[in-house]
Amino acid sequence: MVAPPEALLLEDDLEELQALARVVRDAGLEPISTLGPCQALSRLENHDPLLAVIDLEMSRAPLSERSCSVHDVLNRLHLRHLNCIPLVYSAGVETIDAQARVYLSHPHALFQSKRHGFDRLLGRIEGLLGGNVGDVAVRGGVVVHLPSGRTMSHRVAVALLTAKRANRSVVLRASEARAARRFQQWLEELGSPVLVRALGGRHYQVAVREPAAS
Amino acid sequence: MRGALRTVLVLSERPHPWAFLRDRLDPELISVEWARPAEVGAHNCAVVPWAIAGTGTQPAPDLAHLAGTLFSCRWVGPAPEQLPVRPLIRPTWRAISSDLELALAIDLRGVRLAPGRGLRLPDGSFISGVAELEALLGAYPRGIEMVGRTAREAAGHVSALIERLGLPLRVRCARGRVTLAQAEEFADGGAA
Repeated sequence: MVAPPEALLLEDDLEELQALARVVRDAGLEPISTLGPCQALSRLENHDPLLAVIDLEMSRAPLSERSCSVHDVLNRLHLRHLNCIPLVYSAGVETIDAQARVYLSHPHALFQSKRHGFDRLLGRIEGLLGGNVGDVAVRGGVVVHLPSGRTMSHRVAVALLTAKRANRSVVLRASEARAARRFQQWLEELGSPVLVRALGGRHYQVAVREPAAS
Repeated sequence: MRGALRTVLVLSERPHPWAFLRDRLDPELISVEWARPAEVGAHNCAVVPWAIAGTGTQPAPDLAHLAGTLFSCRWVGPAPEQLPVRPLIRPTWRAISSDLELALAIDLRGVRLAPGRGLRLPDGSFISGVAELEALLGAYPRGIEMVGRTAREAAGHVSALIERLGLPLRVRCARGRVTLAQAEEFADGGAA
């Protein structure tokens, strides 16, 4: 049995944290729920999430969580969890200066304003985790070839599709690169226009093949 | 070293031009990075970008390692001395955004920039590891004006690459400017 991909959730409001966990679980990912940055850093020691949903404001976090900051978490993700996609949502990301501060901690963070409501955040997460790339999509934490219904459950395949939805590449170790090649073979066998591209420097991204120009 | 994804590096003291371009350029094709000119070396964006866009006259000493590398450069207002390539001066960031949007969409004999990095070829296939060719394609038809005596060598690299790949393109090099051209345009041009 393959363990589902994980999503780190950092939210100081317990109700919102539980709602986020439901959405992530519905998308087939295992939530790693944390109420403060110290907890998040601690959980990252033993987990390698595919997605991180991070609230910038931690005013409700317990005092014991104040010795580290959300920016420490973002920086840890940037330095050690190269394939994790951070989605920062906050009322405090509406100004460019605020976004620039996040950028300095993690240059590839995505932003979602709290002003647009919780439902928009959930929609954004679902878009990242469930959108199509060509004729394949992530459904229930596995990659599904939509025309045939066949599935590929390896987390590298899920990571590649999710990264594509976020316009990112993934960095793969040698063993993971073998999984990427198996994913490519699987796509070829199914006649999918989707392919796995090696971009160089251990970076990979999926792309959709177009018909030849006439 | 080139980064994993195609990048435009914004050099400015304030982050607003970075946000402006980030919100306008197609994120599937380009990633927008930002650094203050004096702090380029402290960022991982110090890898070779596809393009640089900047403002202000503050020197960016950490760009010196980019000398001899092909990338396009646009600047709003007076530019600092000693940029590795001669910048194209533009009046506003809106003009730079429009330029870059056009550059990302260039289709030269069916050769286009691929999502992320690399090129999409006329037969629908992709190639990676062609960053200098990507830079020249994005600078078509004006080309890239290099500083110092590096243009001919850079043009030679790209020319060899084009030949190896069998693309219907050619490289022209004249007075420090390296230009990509369609093979037919090249009949009376100077070879690299």
